Amino acid sequence: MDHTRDNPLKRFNAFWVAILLVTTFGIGCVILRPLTHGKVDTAYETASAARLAIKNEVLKAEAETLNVEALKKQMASLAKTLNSGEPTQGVMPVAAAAPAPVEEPPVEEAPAETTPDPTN
Amino acid sequence: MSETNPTTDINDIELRSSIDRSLRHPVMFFFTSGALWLAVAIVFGLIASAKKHAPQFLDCCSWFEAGKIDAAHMSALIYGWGCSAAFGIIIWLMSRLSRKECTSAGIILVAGHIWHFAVLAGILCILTGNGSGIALMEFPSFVWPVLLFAYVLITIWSLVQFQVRDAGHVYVSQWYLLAGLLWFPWMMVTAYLFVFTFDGNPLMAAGIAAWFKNGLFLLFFLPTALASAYYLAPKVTGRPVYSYNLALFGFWSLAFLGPWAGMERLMGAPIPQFLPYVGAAAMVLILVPALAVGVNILKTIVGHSDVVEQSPSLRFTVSGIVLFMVFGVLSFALHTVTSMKMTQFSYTGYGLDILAIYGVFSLCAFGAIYFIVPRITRREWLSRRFINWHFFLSVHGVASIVICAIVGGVIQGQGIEDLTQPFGTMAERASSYGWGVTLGWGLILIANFFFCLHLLLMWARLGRRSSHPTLLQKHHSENPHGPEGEIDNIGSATA
Repeated sequence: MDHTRDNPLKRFNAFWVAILLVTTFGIGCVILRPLTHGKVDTAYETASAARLAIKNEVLKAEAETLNVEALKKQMASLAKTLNSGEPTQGVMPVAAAAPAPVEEPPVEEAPAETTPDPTN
Repeated sequence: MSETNPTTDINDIELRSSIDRSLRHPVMFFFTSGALWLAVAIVFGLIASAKKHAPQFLDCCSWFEAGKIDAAHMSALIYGWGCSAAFGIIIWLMSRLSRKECTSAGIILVAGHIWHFAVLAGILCILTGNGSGIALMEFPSFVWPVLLFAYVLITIWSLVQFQVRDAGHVYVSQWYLLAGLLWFPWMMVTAYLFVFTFDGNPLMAAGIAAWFKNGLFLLFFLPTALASAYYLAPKVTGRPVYSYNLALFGFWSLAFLGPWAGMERLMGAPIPQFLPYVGAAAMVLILVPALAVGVNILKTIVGHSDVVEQSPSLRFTVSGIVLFMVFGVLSFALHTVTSMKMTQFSYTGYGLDILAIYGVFSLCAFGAIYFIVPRITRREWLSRRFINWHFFLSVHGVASIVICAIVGGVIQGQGIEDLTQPFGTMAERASSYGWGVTLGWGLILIANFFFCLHLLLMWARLGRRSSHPTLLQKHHSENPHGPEGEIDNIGSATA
């Protein structure tokens, strides 16, 4: 038997080659994935593109019609009026104070007897 | 108790004895801890099976909900029992075949503890509802790197031993061991990165998890079981392997087909359609290596039926190899397009999984354990009755599970396909077969009570201090393990 194959250097090399081999699997995955993983248009992404287009259109239309300066000016004058006002006692609405009369259903007449009484 | 012939050189016997002594603690640790995990997995399997036909069973505790207990059962069976037994077999076989003592027993022991703590943490996370939720890879993401780290620390010494072995013949067992040692980290690293690290389509993550699960059996457990069978069959019978070319063909056909299997579990899902079909084709063709290996091992032992009857190691191993051939035939029949329509969403897949993990791998592993443990403890098994009970209950249990799950699964699948029947009819049909599966796990639980007790007694060095190996028949004219007296002649087993 040849015993020269077993020495500390050989064992050291074998250990690190084995470690490298195991880590190579992971390194290979990390390298190969970007190469094989192209752009994929999923159903979600396709739908989201259409939704984003509609959302942008709505936001743009809102921005065009909304006069922020005028609203701010109006809000300021309204706040000033409210701040200067005196608190007053609230009044209960008339309709709510008196309950509405209950309508009684009309009394219907008894239906005419159409079949003879079997006990007679 | 020599394994070769009466003229074995005393130096060779001493070398083997010193190898056994150097590996005593890590190997016994893996076998005993694996046996305890197996008991846990069987109890979980019993509960999971009972819940299939009696859903209210143990519904008081959220830990035992059907989804959690099913996942915990398979995880304990695969990573607790299967991997532990495989590690014990791999490190012992590679040392023996490379003729090198183990110089890193302490590191292997520490790594073994890390492995088991990681499995325990994973199973507790599953039971408390903190699993990953990814079918077939249910451990949370933090567990996988720990398992990989522990795996490297356990097995790297076997790769070093192979590299520095004395020049000469590379045994068939060593091909399988070396391949399994390298395939496992390849699959685990790839599956972990693509399922838990890289962002991708969740459907493909499910497919990769399915590929990983199949790969674990075909490319790790199966090579370990076959390495053990190719070691034990010639060793116990004293004959060379029947055909070297057939062994080579069986190995390369498994190496070619194994990595393609797995995606057939996602048949009909919106993934590239060739993937499930390629997976199904690979599973159909697994019959080829099954027949090659089966014929080779059976031809090696042909004419030695008395040895198979007497030797516990060979009896378990031959049963495992026969069940591997059955697995090949069933895999061929159940992965055609027409049959997959019936079986995909039924119990059938579970039956095939149990046939693979328990029927094929575990029986071969039991055979290896019955061979290895007396050599590393320098004690003989205490009771042939325990071994007999373990064997017969195991075989009957696994047969009950596989037959009920596969037949019940096909009938269940027919019920799903029959749209004229209400859905409940299918469930009623399946539940009666569920009782058979529960009964099977009950038998296996009793079988492993004998095995676990026996193994723990051996671990405590309470085995028979005798030169006569424990054989399964009381009256035998010739010892199938060779001449007796080796144990006492070589000295104590203190490491």
